[in-house]
Amino acid sequence: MESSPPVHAQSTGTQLPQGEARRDSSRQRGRESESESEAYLELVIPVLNEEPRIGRTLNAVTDYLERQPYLASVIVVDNGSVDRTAEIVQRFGGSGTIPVDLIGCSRRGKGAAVRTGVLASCAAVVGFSDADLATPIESLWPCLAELRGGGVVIGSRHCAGAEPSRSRKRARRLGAWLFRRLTRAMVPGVRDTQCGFKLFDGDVARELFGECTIDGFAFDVEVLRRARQRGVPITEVPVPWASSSGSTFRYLRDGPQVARDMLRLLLRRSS
Amino acid sequence: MPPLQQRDHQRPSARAVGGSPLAGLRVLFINWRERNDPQAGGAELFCSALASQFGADGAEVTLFTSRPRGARPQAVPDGLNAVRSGGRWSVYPRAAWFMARNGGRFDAIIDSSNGIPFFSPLFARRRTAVVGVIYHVHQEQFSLHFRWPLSAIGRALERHGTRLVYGQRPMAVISPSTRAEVRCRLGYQGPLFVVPVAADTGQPESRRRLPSPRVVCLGRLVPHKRVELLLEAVPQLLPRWPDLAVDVIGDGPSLPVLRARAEHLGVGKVVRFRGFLPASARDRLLSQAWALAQPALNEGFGLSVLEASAHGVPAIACSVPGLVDAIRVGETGWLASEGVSFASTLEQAIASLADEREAAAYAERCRRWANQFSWAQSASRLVAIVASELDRVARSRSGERERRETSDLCCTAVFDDISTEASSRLRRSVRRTDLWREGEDQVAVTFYGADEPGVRRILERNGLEAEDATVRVATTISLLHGSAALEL
Repeated sequence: MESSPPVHAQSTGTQLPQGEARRDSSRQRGRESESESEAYLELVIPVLNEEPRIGRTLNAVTDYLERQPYLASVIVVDNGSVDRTAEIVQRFGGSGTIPVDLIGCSRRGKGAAVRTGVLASCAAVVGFSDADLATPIESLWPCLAELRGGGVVIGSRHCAGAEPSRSRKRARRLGAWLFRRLTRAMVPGVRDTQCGFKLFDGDVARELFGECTIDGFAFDVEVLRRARQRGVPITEVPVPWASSSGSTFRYLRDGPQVARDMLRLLLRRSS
Repeated sequence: MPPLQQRDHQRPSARAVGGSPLAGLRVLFINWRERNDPQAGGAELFCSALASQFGADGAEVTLFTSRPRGARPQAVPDGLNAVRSGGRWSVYPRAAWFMARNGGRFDAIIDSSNGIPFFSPLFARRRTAVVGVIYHVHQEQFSLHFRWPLSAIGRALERHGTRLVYGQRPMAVISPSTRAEVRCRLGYQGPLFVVPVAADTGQPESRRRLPSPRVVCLGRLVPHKRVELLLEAVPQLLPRWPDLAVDVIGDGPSLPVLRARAEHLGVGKVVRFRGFLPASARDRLLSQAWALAQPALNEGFGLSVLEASAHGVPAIACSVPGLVDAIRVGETGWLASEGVSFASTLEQAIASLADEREAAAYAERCRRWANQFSWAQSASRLVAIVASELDRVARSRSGERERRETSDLCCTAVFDDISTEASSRLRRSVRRTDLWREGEDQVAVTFYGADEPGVRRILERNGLEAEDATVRVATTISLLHGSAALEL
């Protein structure tokens, strides 16, 4: 894995975005920084009340990205935090060499937040990651190496080579297993749709997310399903994963919503 | 007291947008205690200050509180109709009884929660606007003050009771920290608006800082104020500042323990316990002080910090809810961050303040910070919440749907060099509850519940150039005083 060369902007077939139109559209979505047009990779991090850990996460992410041979920037999408998340991120934005932008998303849901971030991006490669870095940022390297052919690369906790974490609660494991069985039928060939670490060819991401409508936690399934339907290649890369406390997923609140969204996706196929 | 509108024009600062629709409105304020109650604190000050502002602005105000010993059951102080009934516990059923009998008379009920709210939605008519007020969340304090099962009942009433009974009704919270706690810890679903407190000092005394370091601690002496952290810091400070003096102003159940602690630490001569002081004596001590020490475990906002700021006195506190809102680090005070002791932060603060020029700069910024807040402006924010809730009640009765999605995301739009015409058009395009702030030729508006594209849509819908504005996600500071861009 370590032998894979890092991907340079020039070495891929993907063109760096050019022209004012793209930048204008991303500015309209709320980004103010000018440096975005130079970035080869943009990482979207959706946040909701992450005051205790967002500083640490941004430190880890920017430290890592600074050491990479390509230019990168971070888009943090605030989904309506009431704590001091916004302050911490905005203060961070001006401090390092890696630009960190904060934009807002008033539609509730992780899906809506990630979509807002992806649609505000303009880089050749767009990825997203959870704010708790359950998948460490170092996984970017192997994923990026896999992305050279374009398409979608997703972190996976359940494909060959991955070591699924067993630290979660039994009920949650059962729920996750059921969910995986269901998604296997919806996105054939993908073993883990829900890992919060995914990389896309930038234009593909913007096109796919532009059509997506699911705001909740089931948005991954929708994106991957649309990718499959269009014949976009999806590669799974084994990544480490550490469960952490403080997840915003709540079974009673979000479970039914996920079930409804999945049903919507299933019905959409038959229609 | 001049009417609200007039005050607002004199003062180019933050206020909620919209005229005052209060004239003739009958408003009931319910609070646990009366202003003159010996146990009264910031909550009582907030309630009575806003009630008088409402009264001055043309509303017919009734203020229901418990009845301290010796107080008359009914009175008309400052033109308010005060109704006092019940004690510490019985005020709850008595307030309920009062609302059940007279609830139909009121257009709006402002219901202050002091841990447990008065559950006025259960007694109010459907056309009545109910606005809750929360100073801070008491979940932990129940177990400090009561044993099981009372503590568990209190926690459940505050958490589930509030959520179930108040539903989608708006709540006024006194700080961004309280807003976060009400949302995250109480799980409250309705809209939350920040209505800050203000420093109630008429004309701050001219500053006469003493040549030797003097630290003041201000507040009721109760365990969660952690005055002992200040006492324990004194031995560490004495070698460097042998002429240090500490004044502890305030009374409370912890006083004997604190006295003993001071003796035990051998700082009985340095620390003077002044007890409860009248405002003039308190202000004199404050105006001589170098700094305010506020080591509390948590606060709603930290009114004493703001009062000290009004006197040009910077504050030292721990990085805890409420105080992180009241103190602007490096501008109006110091916060001991995680892993740094209160004592060393205090030491660092006194060292900086030993420099006269540095101290003068802090004093100047502190006064400007305290001037950002006024009861008139807070009252107009509460008026806006009441008015928009009255509108919402009317709309929901006619079956209309809400346009802006309920989100906690807020965005601030800053306009530079805005023309008078555009400014007045902007004025008309914002909601009453949005926060408006005017500088010399700058206007900043903080929109509740809107993201950047949402703000741009609002602007464009009203014929304004969205390109002229810098729109950013609002920070907690912009919720307090309207904007982060026009600060200090």
